[in-house]
Amino acid sequence: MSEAQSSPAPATSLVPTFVVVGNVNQGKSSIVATLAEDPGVPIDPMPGTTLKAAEYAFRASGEVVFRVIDTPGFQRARHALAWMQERARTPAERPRAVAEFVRAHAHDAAFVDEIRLLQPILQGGSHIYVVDASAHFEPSSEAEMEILRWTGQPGMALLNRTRERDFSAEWRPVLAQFFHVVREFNAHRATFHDRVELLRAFRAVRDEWRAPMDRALTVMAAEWESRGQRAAAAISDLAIRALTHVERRELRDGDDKDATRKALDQTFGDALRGFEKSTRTEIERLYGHPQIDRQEDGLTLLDADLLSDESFRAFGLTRGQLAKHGLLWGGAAGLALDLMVGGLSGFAGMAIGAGLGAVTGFIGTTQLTRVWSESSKLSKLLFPGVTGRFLALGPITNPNFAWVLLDRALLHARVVRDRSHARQDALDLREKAGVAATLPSNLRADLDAALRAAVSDALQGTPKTATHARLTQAIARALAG
Amino acid sequence: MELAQLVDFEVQLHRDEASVRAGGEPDLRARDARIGAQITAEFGSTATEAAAQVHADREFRARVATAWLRQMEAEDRSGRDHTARALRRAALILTLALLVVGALTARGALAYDGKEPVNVFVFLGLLVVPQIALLVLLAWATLRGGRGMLGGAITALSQVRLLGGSSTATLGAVGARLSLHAGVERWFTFALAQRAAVAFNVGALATCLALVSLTDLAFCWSTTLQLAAEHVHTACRGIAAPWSWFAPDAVPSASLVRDSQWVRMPGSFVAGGSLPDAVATSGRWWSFLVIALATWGLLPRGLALGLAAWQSRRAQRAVPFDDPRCHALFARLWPATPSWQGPSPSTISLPESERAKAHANSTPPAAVASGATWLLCWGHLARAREGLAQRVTRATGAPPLGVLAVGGANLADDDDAVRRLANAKADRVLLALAAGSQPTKDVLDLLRVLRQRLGPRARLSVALATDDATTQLANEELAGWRACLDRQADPYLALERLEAHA
Repeated sequence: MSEAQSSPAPATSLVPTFVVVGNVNQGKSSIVATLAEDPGVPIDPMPGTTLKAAEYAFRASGEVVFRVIDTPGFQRARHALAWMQERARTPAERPRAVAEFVRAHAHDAAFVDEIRLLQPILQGGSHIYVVDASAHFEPSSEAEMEILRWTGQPGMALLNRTRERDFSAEWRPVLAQFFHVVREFNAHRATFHDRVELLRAFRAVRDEWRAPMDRALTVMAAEWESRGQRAAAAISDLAIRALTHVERRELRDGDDKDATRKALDQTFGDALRGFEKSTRTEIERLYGHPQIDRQEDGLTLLDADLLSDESFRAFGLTRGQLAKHGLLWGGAAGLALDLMVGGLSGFAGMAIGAGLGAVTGFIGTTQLTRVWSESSKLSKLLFPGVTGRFLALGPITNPNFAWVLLDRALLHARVVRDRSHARQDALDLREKAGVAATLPSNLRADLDAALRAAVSDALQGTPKTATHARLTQAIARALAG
Repeated sequence: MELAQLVDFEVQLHRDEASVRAGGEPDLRARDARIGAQITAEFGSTATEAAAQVHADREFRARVATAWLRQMEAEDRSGRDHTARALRRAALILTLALLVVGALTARGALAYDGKEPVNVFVFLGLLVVPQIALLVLLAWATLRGGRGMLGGAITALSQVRLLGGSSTATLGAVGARLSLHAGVERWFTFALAQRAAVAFNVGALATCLALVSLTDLAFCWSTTLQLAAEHVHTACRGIAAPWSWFAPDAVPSASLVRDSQWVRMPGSFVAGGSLPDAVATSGRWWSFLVIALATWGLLPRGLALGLAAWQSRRAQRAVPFDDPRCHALFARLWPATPSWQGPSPSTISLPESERAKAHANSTPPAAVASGATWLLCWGHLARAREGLAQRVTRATGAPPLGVLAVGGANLADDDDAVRRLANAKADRVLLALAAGSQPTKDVLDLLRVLRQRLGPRARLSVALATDDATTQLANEELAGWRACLDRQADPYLALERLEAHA
């Protein structure tokens, strides 16, 4: 007696296993890449790129919770079905016919793809049938669905579109005949929310897999929230580091002060760009895009000079918003001025700064900071015990810059967060506008206050965990919005 | 974890659940992640190890639950009295109270005003017999199983409407949850009762010894019933059986029993006798009574207390801590670190070099050449064969030599089409597929069979047909087809363009 005859009931894998199947080049690997957050999954418009079934296991603390198996596409579905039809006279014989087909053609090069995709299904997996809705429904597709039905295993259908053409309306009534769950899923545009919705749909495939899938969803949600927090903390670090950064050059007798100033400008800008770049890298790594291409023209804007006028126009707040927040930032800037002049201003700098802040905010000045030297109080605070002449630049006293920096980081984090792992193009932010100006006013106010508090603490040499946490929370809210 | 801690644990879990419902989950996660880090530091393990062990090891779960509760109590600045402390206090008060009650009961049982001797029946009836009966009853109730008294009491308390809404809800939920710990609860109650009983007996015994040592007591036995001294003696021997072999002097003799019967009227020993005899007779009872109290009161209670402690520990060790609320807590303490594991891309896909080669040839396909051709309509295009034939006519300047359907549900149609083309010695065939169709082995098989049957110089071409003139074919779509056709190494096989508006 054959194995199939001795086990007529379809097997069920203990670990939820979803076998992604369909015709060649329907976007199966893209869906797997998106679900597995793995930009390394081979994806190519060239048909038949995937040669073998590839298992991607989702683990929670080392334990496999569910699996997704990418497969090569159906190549000769009509012929495979015809072979099976000859051997199954009644519906009861169909699953056995599929099993016989797999056994009989285990070493047959003609059906190698069909064998590779059917094997994991017969071992207890459920199929996720992917169709490209930018192509017409073909008789070969019906053969594919018929074979899947004959396996006796439950499954669902995913409508993916790889082109602009849309034949979803043609597909839907057909798919509904074969699958009780039919979903649309654009692998190249899918966000975390879309992935979660898809996994929720997976729960409906088999009742006994609901609990592990629920666990997977819970773990994923917690991890996603944690990533959001870590991304916010990274941006928070960036803001504090950049806004309090000071570059200092020693001045010796005979040194050209202008040349020193120019070099100082250069290193100051390089340092800020370095901070931003390392933060971007960290956030990309957090969201599973470690090798993202940032060298191509997609990153023109974010690679553009952080201090350029272009950045100021594209990011940050509107003039009205800046005038409001600038008033408050003027106080913080004034504090820096007071420190620079050794407190001789009797802290009038703070008051003057407030007025100046509002004005500079409105007119949109691009002056970031002031040059200062060894005679200031800030020098004594930052470099205790160091004497001699020097020229220093920083910290930032321009509220526009603070918001531009924050906005660029928010935009980058949001785009990276929502980027599908099936995408292989460069990260392109050129056409995207900043988000800060569109944030709710209360959130903007919270962000501004938290940023000022954190910067003020850092300027006074007393960075506090609480203010950092407050800024991180405000940024996390801005990221979530 | 002891019962009191279990109650606190359940109360805290209930509060956390309410907090989650009110949207406070992020705060709980942050709090428990912090506590989780403290616990792993205390246990000397890592978060990953703890997350794995908490699923597999019951004992570890119990340790974690205890440690978590301790941290929670350390962080709680509300000043609220935790159940553990409250129960400890209550147990102490109960013990002290029973100690005093025992002493007072013994004092009452041994009350002697110098006129009428102490009736040993009263002593035994108050201090020995009820204790044996109570012990049997409690043991039966405990061994019978079922819901513990504490959970029932808490649930009953939750029905009291005078309490605030949130309090009754908490009590109700905690009372219901305590059914999970019925074993612990039962043996806790039993142990508490035994501890109180031990205190009672200690109090009574101490009082007895004090009164015997410091006062002059006289004993007798007296009853309204017509009870013969022999029967009383038999009963006393029965009571004294456990110690008669090592303390025979503490077993009342038949003469003692006979001599110490007291009658109220006229108020003397039945046996009469002189004063010295009466003093000696009445005094000999004390050792019997004290040992009876120790043997039938204190000793069984002490043993029961030991049993309760042992069973209580066993029940505590059996608490599984594996219900969903516990697992939700453990998940917050050590959020599972998700990860994906997959194969190396190079092991499952076409080599990069081959894919690059396919993309290298980006020459757009030429338009369908002029001249008569056979037209094969693949798949669903068979339904649009007339429109397609018109397109071919416009493109080639001649109507198709024949239009045949292939790639349909019936494989015999493919064979039939090939046979007809072979019979007609066709030297030019155009295979039209709908845009979006893929160069599957099924399609390539047909082209291969056509080549075999029509000879090496028959012109075979493939064209992708769009539905209308506005739809454009994507370059990568054409590149995929071209790469597949190139791999056939057939110089008379071409990819052509069949315009919708041609």
